[in-house]
Amino acid sequence: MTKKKQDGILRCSFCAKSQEEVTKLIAGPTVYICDECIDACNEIILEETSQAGKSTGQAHLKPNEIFEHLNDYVIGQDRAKKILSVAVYNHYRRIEAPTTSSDVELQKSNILLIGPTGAGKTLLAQTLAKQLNVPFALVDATTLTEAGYVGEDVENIILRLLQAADYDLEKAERGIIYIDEIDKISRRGENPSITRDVSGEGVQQALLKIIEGTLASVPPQGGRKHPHQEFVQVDTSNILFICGGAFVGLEKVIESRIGKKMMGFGAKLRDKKETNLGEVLDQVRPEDLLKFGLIPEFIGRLPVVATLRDLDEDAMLRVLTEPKNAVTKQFQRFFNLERVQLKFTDGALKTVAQEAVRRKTGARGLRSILEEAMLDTMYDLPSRTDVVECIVTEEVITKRAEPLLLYKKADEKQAS
Amino acid sequence: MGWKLSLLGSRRRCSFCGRSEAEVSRLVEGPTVRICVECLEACNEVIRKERKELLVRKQKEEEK
Repeated sequence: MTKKKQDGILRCSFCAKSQEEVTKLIAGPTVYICDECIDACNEIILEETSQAGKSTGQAHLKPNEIFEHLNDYVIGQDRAKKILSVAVYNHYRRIEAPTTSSDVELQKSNILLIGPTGAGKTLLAQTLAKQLNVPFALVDATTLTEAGYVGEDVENIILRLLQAADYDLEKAERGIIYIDEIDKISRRGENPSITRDVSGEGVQQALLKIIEGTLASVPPQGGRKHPHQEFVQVDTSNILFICGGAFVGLEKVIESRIGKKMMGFGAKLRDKKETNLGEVLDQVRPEDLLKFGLIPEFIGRLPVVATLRDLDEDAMLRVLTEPKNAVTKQFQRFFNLERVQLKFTDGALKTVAQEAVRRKTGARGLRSILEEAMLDTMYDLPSRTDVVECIVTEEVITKRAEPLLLYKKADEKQAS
Repeated sequence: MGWKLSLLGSRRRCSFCGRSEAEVSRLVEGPTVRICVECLEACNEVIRKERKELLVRKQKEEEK
């Protein structure tokens, strides 16, 4: 084949191109490989792994298939899932559509996700990211500040996407960015502040053009901009933005608009249970967001609004057991590593779900409740070798009782 | 020992790191050479860095 001694020119051992013909040639002990062959190899590997797993090949998943995939990890929230699956599918369609001058130009519809904490906004985004075949960046808005102030510049969110795309500019320009905690950059208070609101309104203003589509100057090294820095120009007009936030207090704004809140002698007394946070949030309108502290220009650029429901007891119960990485499954795995079977009684699961609803921290509460209840057991178990099964009952959750332990030798049940 | 064993085990080995088919997770075949996923990953790393620099350089030239 190609011997490098031939004429002293180094050649790629795979495609036989010379060093001048390729951008980069990497040398092994006796062989060489060029960047083009590396790319080709990457594709081969990627194809094989995707064939082995799910068929996430070139053909894009249909909205209902994306929906199904989300169903594996996120419980309930059907409407939000539907909106997301359609949005992602349309995104694929749009970036692949041939652009002839006479054609109708397809524009993106960015999405705003609203839902109480622990309802699954971030989980939806993370699950989505796993099965996408475009670069995906999950960033968070809390660290952002206006340009010139200490804190991250808004352009850094594009940088994250660029990194996710391995600095492939073309790929990055068709990616998806999820901005979490978007409600944290809302303006504080109705009236304009006397000092500049550099991490609130200022950030919203800076985000405007990026979200709508512009040539953003991104410092490839990260960090804040300064005069002597090099920039990469990234066209953001094809990048899909999904923003998510809990918008704590938004329900009060909505309620006061739709006049549900009454006071005085004639006021209808409302039960606490009656007010489902999700139902109220469903009726959100742009003016509520405006009142909450988002600037109108910003709201206008997020035309699709999806609301997530508060998780009720049934949903909590399902979250506890059904998803692929459900909390109980995780605990069972932990115990399996100690060679112990872990089981939960139905009563125990129900109590955990009830307690989680009471705590109002969403699905995150489930984990903390279980962690608290299981602490003693997890403390003792590794040093005991004779236990084969551990059954968690209702009392373990409510009264911090010890779970039922089954022992190896004498097959006797002991409530120790 | 490891070297000899793998020599006996399979003739197909990565031309870059010398490990046999059994020792690596995957081998990609070229005409006379092969590369394993692990080496490919290392190459990716190099290329990634190169691309990043190239991107900056190119845009700088465009500006001029």
